[in-house]
Amino acid sequence: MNKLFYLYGIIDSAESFTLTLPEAGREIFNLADNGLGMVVSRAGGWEAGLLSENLYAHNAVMEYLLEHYTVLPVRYGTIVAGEKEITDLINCYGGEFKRQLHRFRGKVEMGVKVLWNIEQEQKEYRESETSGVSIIQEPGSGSPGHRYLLNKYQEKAPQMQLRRKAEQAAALIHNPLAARSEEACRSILRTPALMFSGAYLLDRRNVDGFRAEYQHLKKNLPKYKFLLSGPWPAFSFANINCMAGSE
Amino acid sequence: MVKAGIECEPEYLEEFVQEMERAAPSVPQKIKADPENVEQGLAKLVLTIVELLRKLMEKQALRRVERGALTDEEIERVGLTLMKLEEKLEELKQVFGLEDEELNIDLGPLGNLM
Repeated sequence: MNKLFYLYGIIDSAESFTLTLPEAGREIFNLADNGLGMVVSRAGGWEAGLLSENLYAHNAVMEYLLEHYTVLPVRYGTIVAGEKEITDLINCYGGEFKRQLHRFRGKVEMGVKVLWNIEQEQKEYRESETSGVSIIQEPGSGSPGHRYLLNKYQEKAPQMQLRRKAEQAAALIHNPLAARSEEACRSILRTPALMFSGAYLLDRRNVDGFRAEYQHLKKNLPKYKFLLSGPWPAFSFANINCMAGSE
Repeated sequence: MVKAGIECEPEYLEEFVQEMERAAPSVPQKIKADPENVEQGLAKLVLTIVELLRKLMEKQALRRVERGALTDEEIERVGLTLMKLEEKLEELKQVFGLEDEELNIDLGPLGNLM
C-alpha cells in the first residue's frame, strides 16, 4: 500500500474530510490531529513527472482551502511518509503551525511584478551620463590599486545607476501598496528586466481597495509593464522550517 | 470559490513568464556533505561567504569613489586590497573546482544570497 502523501498545506481545522475536486482530479483528505489538519493526496508518482498538470491541481486545491479555511502553505512538491510522519510533524511543530495560522487568519497574499525596458533605461543612462566623478580620468594609468578600482568603477557604474533608479521607481510602487497591507516584502532587479517584485499580505476584505490602488499606479506609470496576481495563500510570508523523517 | 487570478495585458504575459523563469534559483540548494565531497562542500560555503564580503567591500568602496570621499592614497590601498582578494579567491575557486555561479546560497523566500 502506498504510504506516501503529497502535502498541500496545513489548516486550522481538526475536522476530517475527504473530497474530490473536479478541477484537481484527485481525492484530497484532511489528516487531523491536535486541532490542526494536514491536507494531502496519496502520492502516486505523478508529482515529479506531470509538472504542469500537478501545478494546476495544486492550485485548485489551494483555492479551495483558501476559500474555506485559514491555510499555511507548504513548499510545492512536499511529500510526507505516512500518517506517522504527519503526527510527528504536528507533535513537533504544532505550536508554530498554530501561531502562523493565527497570523494568517482572514488574510490573503497579493503579488505585483513590474518589468521595465532595460535597453531603454540603459540608453537613457548613457545619454544623461554626467559621471561627475573626478577620479575617472585615465583608467589605464596610475598605480595598480588605482587602475583596479577605477576600472571596476567604470564597469559597475551603469549597474549602480540603474539600481538607484530601480529603487526610486520601486518606492513609488511599493509604498502605497504596502500602506494598504498588513505585511509587505519586495525585491528589486531579480533579473535586469524584472525591476520590481512585491508581495503583500492583507485582510481579504481589502482586496478590492488594493486592486484599485494597483490600477491607479499602473495608470500613472505607463512606461512600465505590470502584473497583479492573487489572492493566494501567504506563500511569501509563511516562515516555517520543518524536518520530518530523514529529510 | 476564491479564484486566484492574474491581471496582465496578454501581450506581456510571455515576457513575465520568461523573466520569472530567469529569476528562479538555478544553483544547487544543498551543500554536498557526503564523505567524497565534504571538502568541496565546505569550501563552497566558506568561499561564498568570503565572496559576499568581498562584494560588499567593493560596493562600499565604489560608492565612496563615486562620492569623491577617498583620497588618492586610500584609493590605492583599497584598490590593491580588493585586487589581491579577488586574485586569491580565483585561485581557491580553481583549487576546489568551483565556478562563479556556484558561489551562492538559496535563502528560500528571500531568494539567493547574491
